[in-house]
Amino acid sequence: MGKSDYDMDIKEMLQEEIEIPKAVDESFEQAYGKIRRGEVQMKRLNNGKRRRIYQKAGVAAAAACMVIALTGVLYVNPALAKDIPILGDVFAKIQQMRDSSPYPDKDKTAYDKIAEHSNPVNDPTNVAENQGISMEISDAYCDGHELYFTLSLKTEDEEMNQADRIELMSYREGSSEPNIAWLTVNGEEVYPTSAMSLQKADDQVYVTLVRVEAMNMPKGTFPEDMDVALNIGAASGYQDSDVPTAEFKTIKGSWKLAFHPQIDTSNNRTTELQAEKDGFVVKEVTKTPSNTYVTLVVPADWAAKNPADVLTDTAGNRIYEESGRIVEQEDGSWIKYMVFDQTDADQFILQMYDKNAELAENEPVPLVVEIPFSME
Amino acid sequence: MVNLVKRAQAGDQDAFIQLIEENKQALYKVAVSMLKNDADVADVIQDTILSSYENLRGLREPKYFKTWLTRILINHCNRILKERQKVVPMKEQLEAGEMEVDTSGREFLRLLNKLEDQYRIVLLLYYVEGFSIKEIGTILEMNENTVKTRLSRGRASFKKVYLKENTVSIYRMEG
Repeated sequence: MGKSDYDMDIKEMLQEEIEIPKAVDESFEQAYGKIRRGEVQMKRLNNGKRRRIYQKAGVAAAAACMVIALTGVLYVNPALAKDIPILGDVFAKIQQMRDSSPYPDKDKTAYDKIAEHSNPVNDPTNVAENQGISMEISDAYCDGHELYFTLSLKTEDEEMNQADRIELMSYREGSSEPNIAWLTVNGEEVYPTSAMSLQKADDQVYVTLVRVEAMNMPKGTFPEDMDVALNIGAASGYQDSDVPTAEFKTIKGSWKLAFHPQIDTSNNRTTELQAEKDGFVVKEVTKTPSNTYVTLVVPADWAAKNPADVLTDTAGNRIYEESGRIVEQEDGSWIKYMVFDQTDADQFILQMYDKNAELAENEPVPLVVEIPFSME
Repeated sequence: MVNLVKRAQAGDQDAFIQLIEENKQALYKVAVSMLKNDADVADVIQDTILSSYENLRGLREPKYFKTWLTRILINHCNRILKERQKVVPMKEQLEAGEMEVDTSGREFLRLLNKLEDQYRIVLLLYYVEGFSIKEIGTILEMNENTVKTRLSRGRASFKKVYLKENTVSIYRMEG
């Protein structure tokens, strides 16, 4: 038998169509469901560079708040290193990071506002240290819709210090398999909108801004009295690359952090509406310092086609959608809870497009409906 | 495929799901050949779909979608394998050579189970996925010479399996 015969046999056998087991098939379906329900969002890009949501932006809020806690004495005295915030000269660092790359993903103003309205975390459980890695939650913001908090990490491990980013993992009781780290709010498990992935901010220092959406809570809202806890079991170091790479180092340990954020809704503004066109109804708009929320009814005949939405202000500036949730009604219509970037605009235009329409070459995607609405 | 990738990058969820469906067999075959365990395969497939969706806009060249997706899958598989190495003593790993999947009626899996780990994935990427040696090198983070060597040894390994299987089948026919 010649080489080509073997090649044919190998090819024939390996290309055999195989039945995918039910459990695996279900995992495909579960992933599709998460995508369709908007539980997972595609990250946006700036200037063609891949960025992780909130990483560098997180530094902004961290910076604005941590600086309050810094004093000259603490900063220059290495003997007190354990007592000082993990991040040092934060403002200079942020400026460096901003200069070297355009602000990623989220509108810069929103992060400035989150920083402005956040409060220092003073709970004694906001710092944890183990295996040469210390973690700290230093500032938190909660407007009732979103919880943001800064998370900083300092590593004394030289190899880990080579990482461009460090991702945090958690372990379920009795399991040796790590999972993307989650947190609990009053004991209920909830995942942040993005993996807890800390970006290198300085030598040995990594930071991120963790975001938790109320819509991801089991009841869709935050409890008035909140205890937030993290139980981190491992930190994995990664190096940036055009294609995702495996972690090069993992340090296992135990880092338990907890804090008690305050909900402040005083800066939120909600307008109830009935802006209707062809069965599409904008029912409510809320603006907070961090985001804009729009509640839309999609009629049943269009729900099945899952039309795309584009929100702009009246000057045509697009306000980008960050996430959302769809609740299907008994009649087949949808209530679509959409989360957009923060904006100063009060007058909007929502356009719905039939993105799945069959199109001839160069034919534009058809506009289904255009709904102007105002908060004034 | 390039158009589908572009549509998906523009936010069309259905286009992305269609891309995954088109690569469904490939995803399963690569994952099961590396992990040999359907429960782990289910986990890594879900992780792969979600992380590739999240990061899709980071893919600069849509024509490399399949390479990129396979690389993500292999990274997730490697994570699981690394964890297994940490928790399962080497002796037990050596003893646990058999797949924890039902291979009945699936010639593909039965054959894979007989090939050595280091050759299995290279053969799969080359013959099933149609990747070039250069692309396999990129996906597996190996230099091209290593890929060529493994491909060559994988073929030889397959030859042994093939001859053994044919002999067995003749005996069966005679019996």
